[in-house]
Amino acid sequence: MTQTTDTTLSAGREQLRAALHQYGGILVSLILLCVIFTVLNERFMTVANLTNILQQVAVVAIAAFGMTWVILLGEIDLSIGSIIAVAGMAGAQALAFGWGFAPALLFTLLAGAAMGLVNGVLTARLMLPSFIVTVATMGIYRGLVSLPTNGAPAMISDPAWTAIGSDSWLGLPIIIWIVVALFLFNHVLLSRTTFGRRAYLTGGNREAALYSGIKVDRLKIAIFTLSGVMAAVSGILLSSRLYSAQTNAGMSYELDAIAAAVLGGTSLAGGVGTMVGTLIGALIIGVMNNGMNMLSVPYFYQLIVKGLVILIAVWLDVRAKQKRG
Amino acid sequence: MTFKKALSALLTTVACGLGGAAHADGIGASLLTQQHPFYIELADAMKAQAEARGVPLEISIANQDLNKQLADVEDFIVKGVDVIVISPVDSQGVMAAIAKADAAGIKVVTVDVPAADAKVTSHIGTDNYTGGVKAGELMAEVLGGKGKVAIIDYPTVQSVVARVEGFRKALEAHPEIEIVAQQTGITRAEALAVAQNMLQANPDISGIFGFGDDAALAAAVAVKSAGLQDQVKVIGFDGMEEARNAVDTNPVMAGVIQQFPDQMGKTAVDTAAMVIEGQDVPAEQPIVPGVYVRK
Repeated sequence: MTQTTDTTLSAGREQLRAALHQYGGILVSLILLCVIFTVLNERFMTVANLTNILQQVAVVAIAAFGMTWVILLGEIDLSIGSIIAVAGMAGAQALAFGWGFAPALLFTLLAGAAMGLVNGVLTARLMLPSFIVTVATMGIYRGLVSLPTNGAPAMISDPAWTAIGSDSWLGLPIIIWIVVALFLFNHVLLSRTTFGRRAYLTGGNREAALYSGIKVDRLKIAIFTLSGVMAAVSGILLSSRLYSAQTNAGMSYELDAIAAAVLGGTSLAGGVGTMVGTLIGALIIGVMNNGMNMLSVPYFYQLIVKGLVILIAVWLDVRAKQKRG
Repeated sequence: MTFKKALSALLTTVACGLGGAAHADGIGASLLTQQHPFYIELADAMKAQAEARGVPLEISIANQDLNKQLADVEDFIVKGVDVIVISPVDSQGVMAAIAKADAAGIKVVTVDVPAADAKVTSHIGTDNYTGGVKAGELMAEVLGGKGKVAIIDYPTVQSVVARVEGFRKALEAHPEIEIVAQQTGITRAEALAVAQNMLQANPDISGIFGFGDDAALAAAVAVKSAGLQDQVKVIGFDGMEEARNAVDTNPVMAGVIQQFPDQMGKTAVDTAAMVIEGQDVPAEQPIVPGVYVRK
């Protein structure tokens, strides 16, 4: 009995040590930022503000989960920001046609999947670089979003849709539950399933993956589709928070999503990365945006500081990993 | 150890240095952008007036992103400001931010762009319709009561729609003036292409009305490159420094309707300060634009 407890304990300790190893650098950055903001403003470390931060970071965090998969493969998806906008508009239009909440939700997710699928098929089957494919679809999707309203925003008044962004369940905003659920989903899928292991293997060594019988093309298409669906969820949350679908919604959010993933230790070369890291990366971005607002840092300085913090955090992380060998 | 000591020393220093910046009372202002001369003037006027009145003022810049504007307003609410001034990124989409402030019991004043479908304590903005009428009257005067006129517009923005309506209304009094074209040119580059196309299609145009400075300045360039500078007069709207200089130096630019962002910023801060003091403020405070022509 004691024997087994000891082994579980030491196994737990082992896991903790491994986690600290992996996320040490980036976690230190997050904690350091929180400490600095807490010292400088007594309202930063309040429940109200922390839920505030989680809500604000949700859109980028979920898009970053999808982006992490894509980067893991050694690919990139620059169309995410545009997919976020199209998803919001698709939902708004479906609701305006009177489809009702659930069909509109399904339609929006399918629209996201379709846009991701197009990215995946063009990349995998036509052997085009994903950078170029998604630069092109970024423009195409951004054009599509303006077609139904000729560039004007579309209002959303469906009570269920807007409840996603403004209501709470068990004392926590629904939007935070969704982030937690999608984090767990992606984390388990990546770290506990064959699908996840295939993604790591393919990103790390494409030849080896091919020889070991992984259908790399299919995997790629599946992952771009997943990224599209994640961006669509982001679009749903964004449009529900704003009570409207904006044609310029999500502009340049793909860069925030890439920053979150890379901050979290995802390697742009592929093969390395985790959802835990990406979540921490997204939190760093959210904490910085909110914390600097709380300190009334002027906007242009915020841009500069944000860039510098990303550089320092990545440097800390790279240095920590080099030290371990 | 030394690292920790150094860090805590650093933190204390920074905390002492910046401690004063973390106040929570006063006005929180969320502005649309800080990359347009109109908003730079607006923000400068707000800061100056806040200082003059001794009211704390904090400004966040939404950078044309409604989601950022909502986050900025949420942060103001958590900080506990007394009143929030918003220049909405979008008339309709700003509803979410106003609803959150409302739920927190914080009053909202809008400036420049009005909010649709949401009640605010006061709105301060240019009387765009009257400005459009003034532009139309100026156009009729410049053309001597007859000629063909083209309009460069931006139909998804309500303030621009009001300008064009006013412009058309004023020209109704002049039956010999005909509006032959109306097209959209939002950025300066788009407006340039649109103006060139309109001049190609209607070489006998004698007047162009641009919904903003950018559209008008682009139209003036198009007129010059088409060699029509003796025939076509351009009138703009906004009246920032660049356009006023063009009116002074370029004969094609007949005039510009001038908005007063400085008055708007001053009035916004005055209104917010009155709200804090518990005074009643008017729900609508239109700022009538002026006409700027060559001196």
